Amino acid sequence: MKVLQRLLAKPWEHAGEMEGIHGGNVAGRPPGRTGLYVFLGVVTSLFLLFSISHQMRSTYPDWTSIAEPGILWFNTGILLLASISLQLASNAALSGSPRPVRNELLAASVFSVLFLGGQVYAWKLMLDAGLYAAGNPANAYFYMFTAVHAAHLLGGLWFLFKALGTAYAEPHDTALPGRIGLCATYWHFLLLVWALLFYLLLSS
Amino acid sequence: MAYVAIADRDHEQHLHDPQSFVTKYIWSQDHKIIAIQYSLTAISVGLVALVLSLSMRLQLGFPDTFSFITPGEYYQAITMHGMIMVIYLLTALLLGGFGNYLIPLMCGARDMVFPYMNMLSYWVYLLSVFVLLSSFFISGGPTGAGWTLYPPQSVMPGTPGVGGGIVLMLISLVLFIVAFTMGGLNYVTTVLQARCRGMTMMRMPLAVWGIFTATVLGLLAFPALLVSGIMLLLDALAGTSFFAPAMLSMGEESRHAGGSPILFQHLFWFFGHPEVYIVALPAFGVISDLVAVHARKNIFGYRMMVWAILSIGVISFVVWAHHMYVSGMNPYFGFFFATTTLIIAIPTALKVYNWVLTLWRGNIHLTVPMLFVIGFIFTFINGGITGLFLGNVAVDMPLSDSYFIVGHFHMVMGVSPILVIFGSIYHWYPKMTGRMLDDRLGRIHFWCTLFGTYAIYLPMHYLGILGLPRRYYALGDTSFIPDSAQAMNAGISIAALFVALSQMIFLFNLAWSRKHGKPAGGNPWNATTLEWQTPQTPPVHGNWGKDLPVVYRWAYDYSVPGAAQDFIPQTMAPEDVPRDVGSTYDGREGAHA
Ligand code: HEM
Ligand SMILES: [Cu+2]
Repeated sequence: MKVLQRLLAKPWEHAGEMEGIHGGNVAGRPPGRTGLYVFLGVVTSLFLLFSISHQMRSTYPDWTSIAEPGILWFNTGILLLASISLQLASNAALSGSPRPVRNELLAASVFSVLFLGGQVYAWKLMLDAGLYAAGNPANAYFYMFTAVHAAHLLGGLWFLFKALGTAYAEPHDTALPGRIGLCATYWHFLLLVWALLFYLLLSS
Repeated sequence: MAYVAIADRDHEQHLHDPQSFVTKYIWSQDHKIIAIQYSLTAISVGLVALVLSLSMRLQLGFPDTFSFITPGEYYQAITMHGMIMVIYLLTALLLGGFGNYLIPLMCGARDMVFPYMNMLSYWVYLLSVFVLLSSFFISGGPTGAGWTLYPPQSVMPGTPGVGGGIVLMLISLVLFIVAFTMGGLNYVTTVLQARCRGMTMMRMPLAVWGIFTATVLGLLAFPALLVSGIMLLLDALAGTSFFAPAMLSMGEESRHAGGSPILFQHLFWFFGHPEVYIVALPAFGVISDLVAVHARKNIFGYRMMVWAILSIGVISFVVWAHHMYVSGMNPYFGFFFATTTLIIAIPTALKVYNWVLTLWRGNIHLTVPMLFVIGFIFTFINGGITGLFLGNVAVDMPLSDSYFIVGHFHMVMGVSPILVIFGSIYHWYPKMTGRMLDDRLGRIHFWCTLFGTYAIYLPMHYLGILGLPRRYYALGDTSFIPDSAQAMNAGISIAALFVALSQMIFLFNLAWSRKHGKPAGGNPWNATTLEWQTPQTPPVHGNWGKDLPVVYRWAYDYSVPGAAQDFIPQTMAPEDVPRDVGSTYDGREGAHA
């Protein structure tokens, strides 16, 4: 428990001791990655609270279960593919081969956009079936969950597109592998979040 | 390759110096400028909230004399006053202002680790302020739902601002949370990864610990406000029924059915209670540093202070329902939350003891910052003790929604943090501008503020015990309330006017001293922490000149026996410490109480 040890230090002793005392960067990773982890903490808090509210609200008597559009299964698969492509892109970037990096990034972008399109289509199916948000809290949670998740993915796409641009324009940019790695982590995380939300939607 | 600490690397990436006025002062990525932008914006919007409180006080003190505020406007004033004070003033000033200014300087960094995002954070915050204030200018005006925004009344006809007001409020809050998150990621990552060589976590000043922990709390708690805000927004706009139950409103059935107002309360207070500590922890941290500097003594129990900050942070997530004792909850549930509430009082009280023990036999300099420190300790004890009363279900029941509550929370999270903020501005203004604030004006400002706020808030406790309800426009001829209550209310209002006016002294001092204050030099208080050791005052872009500082000791080497000066800066190596003639002091051991 390094953290505990650190909290037990007696800083008033041994002034001038520099042995083993480094500057910041306790974690030994680039700040962008730490920043991302902190952000994932925030997003985790956000979706956990959404989920808890869903669990509580769904016990009320006016809750009417709905059959979610089947296309959501397809979308989930697409999101999984996006995640895998990004991991491959990240691996390729680390081993320094620009061509597969470009291809996998392109694939990840296409899959992500496809996923968003699929979610929009699911909305259309819901609306066509007359399942409006105001009609029932189960419907409302469907729209809200998918929308908030999509908003997070859109935010990620901004960075993914930037990385894609760099992969074409300056494939040897030394910052590129790091950035692609961050995107991959974020996509895996959003995949997990989606799995949780989808499970909640299906189970109620 | 061994990892090179960020701080040890060259920072050419953010060191292309800004050229024009616009990139230097407006579209700036420099944490010091952003800090000042945050602070000035927060103070300005705080003045709006102050004016709103005066309009309420005039109504309460002289109900038959003034007719410029209607009952509806009274609710709008309450709501905007409370929300602005808590979120847009205190949170923004303590984290966006103080956090931005102090973290890089006190940790020995050149800037925040993500300067561009830091800049965006300020501009989104400013936008959220504009959206909030714009609700004054739409038809129907701002929402009058109270700062707690409880549904169903916040989204039902009959409450002022139910059309546009509540929507703008919620949108503004969402923007604020986005801004806070961008800032918060910076503060946390900078503390974790950009400290200079030798600055271990346990060598950090307590101000950084307080701001750091408060930021973590904010990052985890604001999502609860975001969740409740989004769902409330959907209830208001899309006709969903997350929170809004079926209601007969003015003879008409509402379009909602089945929603749970209690769900909102849980979400709101899961944010709302940590919010108290988001404001309090930075204040605690800053006070610990001020008390050490101005009493020329090391802080008593540094490690205990760090642990207390951390444990308060953790426990503050399991006390939220003490704001909901009157919501009809299960008695065991209430018992649980009463217990956690009393437990969180332990580390809090510990901190108070440690401040007092730091003062004990210190070489107390009654500077203006020190006056504010003492005022804060006093006031915080006051507000803390009434908090113990309210934490107990049985005592809280009759006092809930009375003026006792208003007195309590103004003491503990109104006056206390405001005193800290004033004290810190007197303390750090010399670093920010190179000039001292005027001492005599500072003393006048302190005594007027201290006595004035006590004249406002102490009597409120008595009014509450009499049964005066909170959030009432007028009491009319309520039979159980004696006439003397009205006299007291009039007195409180006069005190409020007095306090508001005396803040003009402070604003004048800020403006006047900028040009005419005494030159401060680099380290006017003889303090040890890094921000006082910058090569230039005010510090320039990049803070440290060519080389980053190196830290050899903790932040509290004051009055070390054997050392010739009563402070040893954190940057001073043991062999460089000047010592008393004949002393064998080796410059290594601090004087720990
Ligand atoms: C001179 C300074 C201040 C004065 C005269 C003042 C006065 C008032 C008044 C008259 C109310 C309405 C009470 C009622 O009718 O229930 C109120 C409410 C409130 N004030 Fe202040 N206040 C001041 C400063 C502050 C500060 C610094 C804070 C920061 C925490 C604050 C936070 C609040 C909150 C949260 C409410 C509750 C709003 C609500 O009920 O929705 N106030 N204040
Ligand atoms: Cu609380």
